[in-house]
Amino acid sequence: MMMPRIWSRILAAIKPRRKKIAFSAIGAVMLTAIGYLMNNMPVFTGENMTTYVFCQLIKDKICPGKGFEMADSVRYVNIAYDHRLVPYIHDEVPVGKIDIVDRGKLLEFLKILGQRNRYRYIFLDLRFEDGCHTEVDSALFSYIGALDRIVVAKADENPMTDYDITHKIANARYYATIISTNFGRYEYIDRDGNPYMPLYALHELDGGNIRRFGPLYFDGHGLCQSTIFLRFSSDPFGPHITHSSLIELPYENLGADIIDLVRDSILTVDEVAQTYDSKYVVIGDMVNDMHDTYTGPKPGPMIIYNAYCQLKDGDNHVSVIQLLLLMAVYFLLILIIISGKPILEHLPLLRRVKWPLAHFMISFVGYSAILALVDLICFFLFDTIYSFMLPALLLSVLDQYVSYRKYKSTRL
Amino acid sequence: MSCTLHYGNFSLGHWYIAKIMRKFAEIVLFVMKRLRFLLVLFAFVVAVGVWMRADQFKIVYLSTSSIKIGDKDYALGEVFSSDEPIHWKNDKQIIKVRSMSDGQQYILRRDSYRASKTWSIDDYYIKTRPSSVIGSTKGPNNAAKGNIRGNINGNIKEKNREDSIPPDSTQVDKNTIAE
Repeated sequence: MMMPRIWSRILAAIKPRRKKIAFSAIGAVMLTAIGYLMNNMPVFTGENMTTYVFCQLIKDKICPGKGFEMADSVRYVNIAYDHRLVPYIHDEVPVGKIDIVDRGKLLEFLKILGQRNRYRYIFLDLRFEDGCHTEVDSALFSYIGALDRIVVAKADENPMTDYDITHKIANARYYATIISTNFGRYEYIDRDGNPYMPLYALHELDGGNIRRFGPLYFDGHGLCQSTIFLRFSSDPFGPHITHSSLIELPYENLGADIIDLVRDSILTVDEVAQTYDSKYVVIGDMVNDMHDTYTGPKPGPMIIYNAYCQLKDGDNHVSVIQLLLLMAVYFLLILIIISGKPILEHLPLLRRVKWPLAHFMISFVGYSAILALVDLICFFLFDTIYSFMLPALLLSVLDQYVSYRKYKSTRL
Repeated sequence: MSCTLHYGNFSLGHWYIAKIMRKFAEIVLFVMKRLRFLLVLFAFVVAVGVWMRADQFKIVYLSTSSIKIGDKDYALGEVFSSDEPIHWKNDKQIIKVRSMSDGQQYILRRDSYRASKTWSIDDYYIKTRPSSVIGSTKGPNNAAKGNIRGNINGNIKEKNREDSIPPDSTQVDKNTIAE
């Protein structure tokens, strides 16, 4: 008996305001959808990147801990000092020589790993471009083609077409925008549905995948994002000692620390191979392939591994509770605005300002501050944020429009 | 617990407390009697733990033809224990070692070893890598590694170093510099 009475009271209260409530609900859904769509676009990495960094900074201060849990399960192999000159052919005409990675040493190293075959996964962040050929190409590419659990970075230009390793190749580029010139969001799947290296690896190892349905992305757990912000520690390779008397090498050099030692019989093949048991092996240029991030320059191969770890941790999952929380906040803000009593009208500064543009700017800053606070709370709870600039802008426009209508009606 | 049984001023609650106190006194007495034995046992367990934990390192680069570690001269490719003191020949001597347990490579130089009065690789962790610093800023696994080397090994080695190693090991080796 009690419940129907409460319902009837609620319905009676809603009935005269049903248009405003319906408008607020539609507006809240639209603003939330805009936030989700913007988070799927790697080019929108300006203000929300700054928010993300600030949120992470505050969270690290209050509850430190979440960092590189998988730092001990990876081994980095540097190829920066293992180059050799080879003839370069451009447009089918020899043009001179360029230095490329010593593919002979790379083949030897892959054979060491492949013989034991106990490594967890190999990320080969090297671009084998057309026009440079060596005597070991045939052996190297057929070995890569037959190797288990390996992904090779795709060359942006002049892709390697002579040898069939296309089934092992995945994207490995990233976006820089005019708003954010440094490394911003990492994209896991491109517009054509092609996976990037971390997603390719996750698919091979755990069967995980991201599928696109129009503007929405889904994985095995439900709604997800195709791009995310990456967590970086200030230390490029995580925890390592770098003291003048003892340096813990963050990576091994392919030639000097592995292949040359095996060739000189200082290390045995087994000694080398067993250190990669159950480890992720990330091979790439750790010296020259540097990308500017919000915590300083980071090597590209490390960024790829970082992106893989976060994908594995499910950092790209969309929390339904977070979406509902955002919707509730937007709903309340819109309802307050269209009820003719904007929340910012209570500020004495805003009441005195008569100039519409200044009024608009102050209300925009106010809504941005409210939504930034909501973002901070969301980051603490769900480890992800949504862009607030566009929603704040739209709320300010609505606020301005309602104020204008109110002003006009009082004058008439 | 509410107590209704009284024997004069001595309640059942008091009796329980007295019983517990007596047991506690017995335990203290037992420990005191066997304190020396327990201390020896504890030291033995810790020493065995430290001995079993001492890491093995292979020399993969050497700036000189050999290096004295402990009582033996080691050459390229030879394996030594991390708790052995390194006798540096000169300030420019550099060695690169590879851990036999996890394959991690380290470059070691003499200069700061002497400055921080460290002698072996294990000692280095005690003197220059306090576990609290590692734990606060670094990953959990390496923090654990730092704690093991810093705390367990450090306390045992401190005594050994004072007893067996000359205050400046370079004096011993000055006459033997060949390179």
